Amino acid sequence: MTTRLSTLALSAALIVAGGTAWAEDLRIGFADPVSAIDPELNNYAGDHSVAQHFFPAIVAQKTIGGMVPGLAESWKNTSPTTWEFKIRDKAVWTDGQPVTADDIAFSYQRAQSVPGSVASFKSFLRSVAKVEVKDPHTLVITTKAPDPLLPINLSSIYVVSRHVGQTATTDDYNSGKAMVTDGPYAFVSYTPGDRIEMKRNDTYWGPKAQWDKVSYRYIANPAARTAALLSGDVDMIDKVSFSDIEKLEKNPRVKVWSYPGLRVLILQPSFNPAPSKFITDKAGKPLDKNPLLDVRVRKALNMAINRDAIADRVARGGVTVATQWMPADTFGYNPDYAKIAVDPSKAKALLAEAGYPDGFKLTIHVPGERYPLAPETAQAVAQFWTRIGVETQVEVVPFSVYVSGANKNEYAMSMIGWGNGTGEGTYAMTSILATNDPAKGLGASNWGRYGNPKLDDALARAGAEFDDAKREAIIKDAVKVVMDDVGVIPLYHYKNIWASRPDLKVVPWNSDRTVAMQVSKAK
Amino acid sequence: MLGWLLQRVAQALLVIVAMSLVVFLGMHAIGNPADILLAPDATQADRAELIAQLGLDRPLWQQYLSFAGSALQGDLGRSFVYNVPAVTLILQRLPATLELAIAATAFSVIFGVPLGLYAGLYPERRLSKLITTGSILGFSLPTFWVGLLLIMTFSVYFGWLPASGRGETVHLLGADWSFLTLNGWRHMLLPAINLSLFKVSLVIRLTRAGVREVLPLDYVRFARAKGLRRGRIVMMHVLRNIMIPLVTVLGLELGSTIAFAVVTESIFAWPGSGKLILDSINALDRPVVMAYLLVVVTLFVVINLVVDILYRILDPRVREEASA
Repeated sequence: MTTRLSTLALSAALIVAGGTAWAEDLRIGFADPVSAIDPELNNYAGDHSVAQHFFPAIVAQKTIGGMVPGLAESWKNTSPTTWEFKIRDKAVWTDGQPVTADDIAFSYQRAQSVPGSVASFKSFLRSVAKVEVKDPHTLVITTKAPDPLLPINLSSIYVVSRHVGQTATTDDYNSGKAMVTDGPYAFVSYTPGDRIEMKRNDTYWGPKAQWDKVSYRYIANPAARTAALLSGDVDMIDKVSFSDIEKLEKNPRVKVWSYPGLRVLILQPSFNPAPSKFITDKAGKPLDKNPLLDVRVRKALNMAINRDAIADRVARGGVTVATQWMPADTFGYNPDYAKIAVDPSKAKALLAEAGYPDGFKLTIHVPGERYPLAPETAQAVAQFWTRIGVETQVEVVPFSVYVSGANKNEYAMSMIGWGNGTGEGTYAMTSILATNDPAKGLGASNWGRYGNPKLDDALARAGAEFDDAKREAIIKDAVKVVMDDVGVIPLYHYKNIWASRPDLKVVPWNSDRTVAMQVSKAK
Repeated sequence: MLGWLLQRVAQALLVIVAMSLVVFLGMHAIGNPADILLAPDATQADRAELIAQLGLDRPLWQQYLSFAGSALQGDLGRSFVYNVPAVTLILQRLPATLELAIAATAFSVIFGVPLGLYAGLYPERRLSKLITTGSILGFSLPTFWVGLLLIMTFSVYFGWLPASGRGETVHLLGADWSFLTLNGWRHMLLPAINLSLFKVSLVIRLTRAGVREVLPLDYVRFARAKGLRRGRIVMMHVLRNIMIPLVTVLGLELGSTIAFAVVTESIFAWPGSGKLILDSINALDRPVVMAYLLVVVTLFVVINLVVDILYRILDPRVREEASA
């Protein structure tokens, strides 16, 4: 359907824009659902994007610039387990009260105990033992063990005020009653499932916001977002549909902003030794032994995939090829593993060597709507594998069904999209690569149940290493471990793609978050 | 009349109980909401904690009984995702869908009845053939595609009407309505047309067929022989007699539009309940799904009731049957 829209979009390209906006107002059409305006209720992408306008964190993580000061103007380690944050004097709430270290201490406590939270923020505070208010402008945090990633984790927790937040419920934030904020924009109104209206906050401590008023509108359907931009209903949209990119790029009334992103799409082969109905011989009889346990088979599957072709033809340039979980030029990317050579004949030889000269039958399971292009990508992978003799079927299931099976390690080959939200390699290692260990809380989304003690050891060492260069070296070693093992099969990294009116400029903010602060008028 | 009404209500209650059981079991069979609700980096312990928090660790019959228990006290639970009472959530979104569905149904009567009447009265004229053929398009074109076409034509190409959202609203009777403002109407026009297209065609077809059937009947010829004006014959004798099937179908259509306007709502980013229910099913947000279906069943029952009352007004025979 979106293809049809694109064709129409092209024909519409020659026509002058319908409505024009007020010069100083910005209207954004965004894709991620918002569960609440309460910034500490749920750790969801849409909720994060909204919160960044109203409730800055103590530090901020920017795509351009890395870790930058937030409410804290500086921070330092007084010992490997103690951190001291200096809070800005100038920061004030919209009701005139100053922002103090006590507000921050309160927020960290509230983030772990908001009633009704289903996706809690407490994972970001897991290493914290104690939060102390030394004076109104000094916050001291003690961690259970040395934790170099503490500032990165704290950048995801939004600070609310104690004097309002103490008695406020999620409903009070949603209704605006508790929306005493200190971010670049101030709250005007919230219509659930529709939009959030905001205006510039003149008492904000940072650089003055660009826009007088911002209308932040939820448009879930990608074709509808494109249409809203083309008709002038909104000035900027996020998550541009892959099938619309090419047409929009040719449209003089629209500017497309495409930046490399962190989110990776990965296949997880199952390491379950039990016979599975999803791995069978050519006649359909389950194999006694799981062939995926043999590293030669995994290597064969890995080198059979032509990633460039997928990026080019399936994703139409909306992704970059992935050869490991982090994209190039990020913390923990290993340049020694920059390429995976496509070699079907070698793949066949490896299969024969492993005892499967005629291949076998395999089913990939993919969630239907969760990850953009996932079903199409799986289809392409299936064709590459079938060519080397591994007859591959793709089973597309709704995410609600999919995730239950994936969690139980029922599938032979599962697929996961991982956001890499911290911008460094250990985040994926913790959740999707480490050996599944409920007691330690490791490998919770390691759906294939890959396990390698070397990786687990690297993760433990990286987690305690304060020297950035040394920590990066450890993560790079971990890349070597996993990719030599082919513990997972990375496919590509999604680009972050926005589109706007031609007179606007959009720069990436933090990963794939969409915020008014990233949009300015083009000079 | 009262006995008939009580019977109706009893029937509705039975439907509600049966439906709630089916949905409860169905949602349980699909999967565990905790898997979907949790943030991707949640640990196994977080998962166990959430399952306990939502009460999903209890046996299913216990979960159902406690749901039924609170439902009887008027509490349908809080949405897992939004952390607001499910009923509040639905009542927030329902007005948007309600006014859209009513507008679409109104369009179908305003355009469908006169066009169908014309096509039925003058079947040989070229315009009538055009109307009849045109209605085939209304049946066969997919809503999704027509919606995009409308947007491309009227929003992108001409720039006359907005492509998305609801526009200005006015607060009345505890809900926000956009049919009370001009800006609201501008936003509502395209989605309402999109929703009504199928219905207009349906009404044209029904009206035309009805007129063709009734015209040659004796009472119409008698009325004509009596020397009644043509207008009066059409309005009083023809139209009135074809109203019964029309009202039945429109009632059913109104109900299904309210319940399942989701395609149109998502193309036009209309913040109605169709979008909400789809998201909630995907997130296995059981309280919202249960509450929504309860509301919809109730709506259907009410609409059917209204339709039955309309029968009585329209058709004297039904009136007599009931009083006899």
